Amino acid sequence: MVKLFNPTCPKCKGIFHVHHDDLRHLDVKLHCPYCAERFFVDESFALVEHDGTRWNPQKDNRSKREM
Amino acid sequence: MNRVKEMGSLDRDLAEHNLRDFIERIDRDHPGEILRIKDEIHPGSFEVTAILANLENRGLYPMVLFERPVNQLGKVSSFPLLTNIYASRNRCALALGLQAHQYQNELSLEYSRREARRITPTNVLKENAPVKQVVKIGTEVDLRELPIVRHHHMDPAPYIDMTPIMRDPEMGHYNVAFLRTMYKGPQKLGIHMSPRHNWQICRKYEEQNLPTPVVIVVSHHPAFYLGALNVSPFGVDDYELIGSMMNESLRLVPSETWGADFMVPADAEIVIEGEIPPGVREVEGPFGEFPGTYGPQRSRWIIDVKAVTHRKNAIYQDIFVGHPDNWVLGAIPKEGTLFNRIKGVVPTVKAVHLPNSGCGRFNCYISIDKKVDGESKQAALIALGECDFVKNVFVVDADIDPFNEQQVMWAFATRVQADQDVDIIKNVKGATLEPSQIDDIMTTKMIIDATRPVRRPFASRIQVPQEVRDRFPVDRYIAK
Repeated sequence: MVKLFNPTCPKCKGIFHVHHDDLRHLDVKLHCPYCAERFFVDESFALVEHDGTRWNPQKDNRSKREM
Repeated sequence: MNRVKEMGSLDRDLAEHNLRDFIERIDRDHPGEILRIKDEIHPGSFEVTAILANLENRGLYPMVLFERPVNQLGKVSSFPLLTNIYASRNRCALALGLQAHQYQNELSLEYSRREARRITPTNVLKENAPVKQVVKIGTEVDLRELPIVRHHHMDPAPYIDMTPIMRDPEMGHYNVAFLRTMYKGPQKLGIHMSPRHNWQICRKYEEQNLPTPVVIVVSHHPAFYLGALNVSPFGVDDYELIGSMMNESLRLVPSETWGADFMVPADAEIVIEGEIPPGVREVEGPFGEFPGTYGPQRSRWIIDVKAVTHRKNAIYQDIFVGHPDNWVLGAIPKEGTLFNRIKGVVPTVKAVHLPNSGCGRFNCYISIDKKVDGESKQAALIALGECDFVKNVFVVDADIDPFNEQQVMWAFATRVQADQDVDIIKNVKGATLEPSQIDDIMTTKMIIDATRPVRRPFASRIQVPQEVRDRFPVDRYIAK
């Protein structure tokens, strides 16, 4: 398998798998498979990176989109 | 006529052209193999796969015909939904015209015989093509009419999981492969491709900034799909090989979108025609995949759907991906193809089996009547080289039945010293969806040589003298 990261949907809090090389740094919205919410990676409620690092983009990074 | 019977093992001449012929035969001769569900069932809300999973939990693997599936428009679809056809090797044997009990090595060998043959397709007129009984083009198309199945909880949408076909722009051959296509709109699908044959074809079109024509054959005779999963090299025309699997020339008809430049199967139930625009990617997935794990959400191609053609009262077909329906379907063609390839180098190969425990792909059991030390390694290397899905190869002697996993594990336990008989091969092209890989493409493969050495004495298997066993049949002591 490829490198995965697991974002948590900011709306329904569902966790799903995303392909790291394809989408971790691409400026497109992810698509929550449970509630169809569309959001950027840094809008995730929480995130587990491919190497196991855990962080909360909204708290730890204060979203570069807001800056 | 009767090329079939020359092969010696068939119970009938396979004169079936299409899926409904097959269903009719199953209904007539093997009614226990089919379960008809007359209730309204919602495929887009996991209700189809819930029933299949519950059957599987009880060790039941019938093919299931949902007579009243509800489509995405909220109405009972005019397309009945058939799934789980391949979950039993016995049914796959029937699909190739064998008898149900010939489901093990005889089935693999029959596939290998047909895989070595080609039958040129036949072109027919549109009026003689059942798949043209209903033609919808452009905005007439509405994929929501189909009872498309949402399979597993992390799938974001219903998926068509049958066979997109592409035609190589340089060599002209057709390639048929199982690829997942995600419902994205009434005339739009997403498509995932791993770097195999269809990916190569699509890449050629994209390099010229041209759209890639693609045709999805949603339903056809099961022999069509068994033929589609051959492991032949790039350049082999799958229409010719599928004809061989069906024991007759595959009947083709011009597509609605490209005419004779892209021929489509005339006896299919449903065909979707579309184009993959170059350079366009959208978010697709996750999807519950064949290893029984989720493939991740990705940036993938899309298909702009141009036309849908189908029979009147067409049957919609689905594979229960990540389950025996998927694993058995994948295993049989690989067993047949690998048997042919290995036989060219190790003529004493007896059988090849890709068990469900390895998802019908990752584990490969090969039995050989070894005459020379080293033949086992040769056989294993061919299997690994021919099929990038195959990850772990167990080679056993001819006294071990590779269709009996207990026997294979016994040979592994009693004939293998890990430092002598296990080889690890790193950095080989693998399967992108195999979950233990730490690279997108490359994997590590393993050969386990569980054969006895030829050149030195090795402990023999215990056995009770056969002539004494023959004198004491158990029927004498236990009730029949």
